[in-house]
Amino acid sequence: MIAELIVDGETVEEVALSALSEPVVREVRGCKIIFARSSVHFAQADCPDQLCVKTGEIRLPGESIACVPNRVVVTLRQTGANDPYDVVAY
Amino acid sequence: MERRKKIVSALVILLAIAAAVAIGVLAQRRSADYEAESYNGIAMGTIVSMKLYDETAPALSKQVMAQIDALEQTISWRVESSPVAALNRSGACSNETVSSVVAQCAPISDAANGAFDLTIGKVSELWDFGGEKQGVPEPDALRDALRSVDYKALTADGASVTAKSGQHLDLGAVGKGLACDRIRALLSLTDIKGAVVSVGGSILCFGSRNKAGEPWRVAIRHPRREDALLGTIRLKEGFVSTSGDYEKFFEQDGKRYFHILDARTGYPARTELCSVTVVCDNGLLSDALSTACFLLGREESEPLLERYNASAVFMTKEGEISTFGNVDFTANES
Repeated sequence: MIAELIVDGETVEEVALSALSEPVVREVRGCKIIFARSSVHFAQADCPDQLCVKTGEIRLPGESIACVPNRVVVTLRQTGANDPYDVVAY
Repeated sequence: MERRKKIVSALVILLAIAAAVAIGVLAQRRSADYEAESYNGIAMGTIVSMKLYDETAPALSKQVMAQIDALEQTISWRVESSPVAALNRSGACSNETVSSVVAQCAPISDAANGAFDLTIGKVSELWDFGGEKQGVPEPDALRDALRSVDYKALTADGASVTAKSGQHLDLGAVGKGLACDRIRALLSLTDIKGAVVSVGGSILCFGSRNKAGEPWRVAIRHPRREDALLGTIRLKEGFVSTSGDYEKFFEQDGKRYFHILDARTGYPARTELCSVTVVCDNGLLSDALSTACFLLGREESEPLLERYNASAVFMTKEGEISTFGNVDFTANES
């Protein structure tokens, strides 16, 4: 699984989760994001609504977390071309 | 010696044929798939993600995002210069989009016995889900706000919309679906082969994802599990919207309050459902119907869905999954 870190609509980093032996932490625009082998979550954010933190962990391809006030998005996608689905409704 | 040469030649020819066939198959497979442009960003206060397909990756994502931003300027009550904000201040506005939304939602409010109501603005402002003041409103304040809620007092005539004094419009329940309609209209003007777009979880499936014209596969988030999906809907084209009790919520005094409010009571819906997903040929309607069905519950939703030729996947709090209409849904086995 690849986690894409997107700031202002631009992908700034791609993290290959399955290659991680231990979690990595990224701090972007007041958001502290934890990338682990099978999940990603926002540990902290300086935004008032905390929706990104409350979202909890995402684990499945097509899932995303956004900190809207900081315009930071993390989205997951499958490594290979054979995604089992095209999009997630929620 | 001569015989061995012949065998070697035959083997070389066979290998060459095998290689040619393999290359042919690979080339065919590649030509059967379109190139995709993928994009993830933020608009209308939510995540927008899209995959746009064509012979060569199209460069349309910026136009799609601009379309959503433009719509937000019209329908968001938070944007001071929007017609909706103007209506909330003065009781009237002139805008074809707002007028058309009001006209399309009135019959759904009728069918939902007023549980679904666009004039719920003052009540939503009190709850302020996701905002800085979020919390259970004071009963007196809620009672006052509820007095302003009445979609029957809204009139849409041509482009002009009028409300009764003190009414606040909130198009939050239909905004993302309406954005999907706008994106569909934009894509129809191009030669793009296919697109799947999610505006905060409301989905547009347009055209085809590959040359074989295979259906789109829309997974539904599981309302109670982070590690699994509820299942997958397969559809050729159309719109998919989900309403659930898990998306926006807060806890106060040990009780959980979620964001889908019943306009008759001013409180979160009392329903046996925890998630409903509607498939429909119109984005605004799929959004409005998923909210209305969530408020109404499984049984009362059926006539409403039938009326709009829509189908749905329901999940109750007990974990029972059922479908209505001709939706091609496969539940996840795990």
